[in-house]
Amino acid sequence: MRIGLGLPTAIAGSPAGLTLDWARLAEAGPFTSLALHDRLVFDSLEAMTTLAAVAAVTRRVRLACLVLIAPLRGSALALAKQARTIAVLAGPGRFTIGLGVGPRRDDYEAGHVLFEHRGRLLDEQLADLVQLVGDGVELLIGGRGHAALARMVRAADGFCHEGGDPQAFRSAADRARIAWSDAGRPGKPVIWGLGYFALGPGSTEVGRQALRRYYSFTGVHATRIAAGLLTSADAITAYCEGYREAGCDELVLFPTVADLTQVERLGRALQER
Amino acid sequence: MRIVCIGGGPGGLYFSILAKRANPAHKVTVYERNRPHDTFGFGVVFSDATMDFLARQDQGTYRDLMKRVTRWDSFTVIHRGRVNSVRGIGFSAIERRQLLLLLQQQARDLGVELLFQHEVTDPNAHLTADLVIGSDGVNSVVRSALAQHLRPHIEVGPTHFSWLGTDRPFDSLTFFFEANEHGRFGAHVYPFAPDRATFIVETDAETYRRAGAARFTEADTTAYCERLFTSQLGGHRLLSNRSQWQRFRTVRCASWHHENVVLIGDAAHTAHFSVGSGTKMAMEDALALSRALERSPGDVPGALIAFEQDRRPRVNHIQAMARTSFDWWSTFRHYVDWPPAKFGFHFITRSQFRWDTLVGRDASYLRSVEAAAGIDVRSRVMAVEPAGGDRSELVRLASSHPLTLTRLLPVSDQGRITPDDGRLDDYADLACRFRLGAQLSHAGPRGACLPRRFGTDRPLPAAEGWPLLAASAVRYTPASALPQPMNRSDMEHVREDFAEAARRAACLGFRFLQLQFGHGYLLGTFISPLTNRRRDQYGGGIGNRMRFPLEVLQAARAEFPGELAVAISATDWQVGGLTETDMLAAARLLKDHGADFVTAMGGQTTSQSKPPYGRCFQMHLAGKIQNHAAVPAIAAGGITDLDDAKTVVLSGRAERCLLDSLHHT
Repeated sequence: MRIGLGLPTAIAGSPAGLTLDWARLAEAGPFTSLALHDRLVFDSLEAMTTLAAVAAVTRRVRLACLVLIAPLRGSALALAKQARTIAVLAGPGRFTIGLGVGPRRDDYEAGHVLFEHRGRLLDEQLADLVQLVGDGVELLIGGRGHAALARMVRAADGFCHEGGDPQAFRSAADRARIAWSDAGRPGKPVIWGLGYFALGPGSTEVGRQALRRYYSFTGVHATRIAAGLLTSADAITAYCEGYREAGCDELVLFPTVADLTQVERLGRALQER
Repeated sequence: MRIVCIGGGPGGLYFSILAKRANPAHKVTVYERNRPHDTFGFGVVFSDATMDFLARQDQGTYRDLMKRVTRWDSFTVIHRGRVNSVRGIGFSAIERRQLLLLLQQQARDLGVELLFQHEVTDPNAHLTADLVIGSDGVNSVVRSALAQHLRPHIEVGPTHFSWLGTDRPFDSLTFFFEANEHGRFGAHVYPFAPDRATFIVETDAETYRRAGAARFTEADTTAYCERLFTSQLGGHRLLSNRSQWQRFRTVRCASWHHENVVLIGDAAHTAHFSVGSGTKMAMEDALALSRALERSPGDVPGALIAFEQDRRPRVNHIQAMARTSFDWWSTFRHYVDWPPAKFGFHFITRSQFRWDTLVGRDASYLRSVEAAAGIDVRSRVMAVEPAGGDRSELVRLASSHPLTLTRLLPVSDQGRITPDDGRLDDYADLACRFRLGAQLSHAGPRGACLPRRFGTDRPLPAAEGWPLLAASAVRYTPASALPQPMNRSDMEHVREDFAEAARRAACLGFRFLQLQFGHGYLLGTFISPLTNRRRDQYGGGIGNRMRFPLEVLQAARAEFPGELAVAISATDWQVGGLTETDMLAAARLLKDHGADFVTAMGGQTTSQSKPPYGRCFQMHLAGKIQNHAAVPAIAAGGITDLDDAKTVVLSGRAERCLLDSLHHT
């Protein structure tokens, strides 16, 4: 299992310049990818333009968008062009784009797209995207419903899980593999997982606060998600082991504290495994 | 804010408490038609998972409840006097009256206005409040008043039940099955105190009619059930409390809210009591609603949208689980004559439990199931050659399984899915060395596509494709080529192609043949009502829709002496698709025309089908084919390992199963 690092683009109040410094530092570290989330109505950096910039300051790591709320992005052609541009700037085999509808109605209201049309829009975009993006871009589908798995088997390379304890990941990953084999796709889907960490003195509460804020739209579940924050090397080791056993191909650990020391701390925690 | 709760059951009371706690300035009124001490029903059950959820969300209420509940840790099925007990399935229970008194007390302490014996007949009179909660249960007047906006759908179940209680002590959640001269009965026993239990008796319509229970008074019902369950009650009584016979009503609504009015609990959604989730869902609704309101201060309609969005997936999940469980209770007459161990295991695996989820709870129970069955499940597992795998992979599978099926092989060039499809003759050297089965198909409208490493149903460039056939001119995806509806001459060709392929398979030494009549391929387009729009004798009712597939089956059967299975999409996993009655009729017809087995696949009949993928996600379909239509079934779909195969075979749902070619490492 490969381990990637999340970019600090969705931690409200991140200092300017942190993201690119973070990317340069991670390029040297033990991580195989740099990933970010997409969100419209939140104090965060825009996903595609950020990845283009990160492509310019890195050479080795894979770049991943987990996941892009595609129906808010207009035509498949415009989106495919952006994706191809990032892939070209990054160099061969370095770009993973996850697509989903996202769970947030406010993003759709702000984007003037009807929430009720999200599934149909993504289906239409996907049909064109697979033609337009071309080979060399890894395409994932995110989402928890049956529709997401149907999309994955139709046109994508794999599945991106939304995060959660290894048991929840395992059952979602099993479903994705079952869908894949039921549809007669050869091999198995690439499966990405994610988690959140905060390491170092005083970081636990800051990190939980950041998660509660980011996930406040999930209502009663924000508390549970915040409680799942990984705050020690042991917790990270156990989490990685659980994901590995459940058949995760790439696990991305996202930061919740906007501080460069988090990159080094995570690197050390991973080496202690 | 002025908040009105119509209905003072657990959901309404709990919400009033949470609202008042969130903001003591809210003026909250609860209208309840009964008196404070009145209550109907006996006990309320919470699973360990529900209690854990409550512990995380509301420590105070959790602690108050924990002081009053009794906890049990096992689950018992008693059938024909034999006991099947499973440990490690924990739940807590409380007398419903005690729960209500506890919540009433808390509400009163917080300053909620509780108005008892106050029946609301016209909810419109309360609409001036800032927020109106319809927590008035399954017969909700709030729901009726807003029916135009909420669009409720109420499904009346086929069984009849009576809600009783007993003073016989029970130490476990217990299910009894009993027969008398009128038919068969089941009892759900949910203890809620050391010497008190809810005792629900349930039966099918036929037994109910023969017993003449429609004319029973409450005393008649009690006496009848006491006689029926004499030995199980061991001299104890049954208690009644408005215990008329009823049919369960499953409530679903297109929307749970309109402007400033929202439904929670049974008013919005019900789930058959056999999954024990009524009070749990009502309390979870109350929690989710209060959180949604806290997050959107001053925006009630916005909060109600967020509430519904949050709760829908969870409620849908429970309703789906309840549907499977209720389905079992509606059809258990098919199983009551089974040996007790098999019956018990079938019952326990009816909705959420499987072999792998029980192993950690009670391995010794599972050993007893295995011993009683005396079946080596390994001998019932069939492997399938993985798509895109190479020769050595097939040899490896064939060496370690009693039978291994090839991938789908086209009966003709026109029947190919992709240009890369294999041929029967590719297996010429292997078919005589190993126990192999051939899977024959004609792609129909799913033909002429790119190899599946590029995805599914992505059409080849037009110049590289070939003409497609189907029952009717229906494209598989919007991008697919339009197939030609088959004429008589096409049918004769296809039938001959299948016969020729079957002959060739026998000749090459294949031991087994499976004809693919599902998944939206050619023969499947005749069977599914979604893809067959013909007006001739090959379209219309299931008898007509099966006509051509049966002609093909007979032609292949005549050429193949070994075992022959036909795979169908036993459901379309789509609204408007194949009904259960049609599925059973199709299975019987296939058996009558020479199929030794019917393989229960599902979905893929159109690109819109949405199978609920998961482990063993289609085993109930095999179970129905095997037990309701008496046709030997092969289960397929999400059977990932030997544990899943045990779930399917030892529960009597299928003779064999097709192992999913799922790789973990």
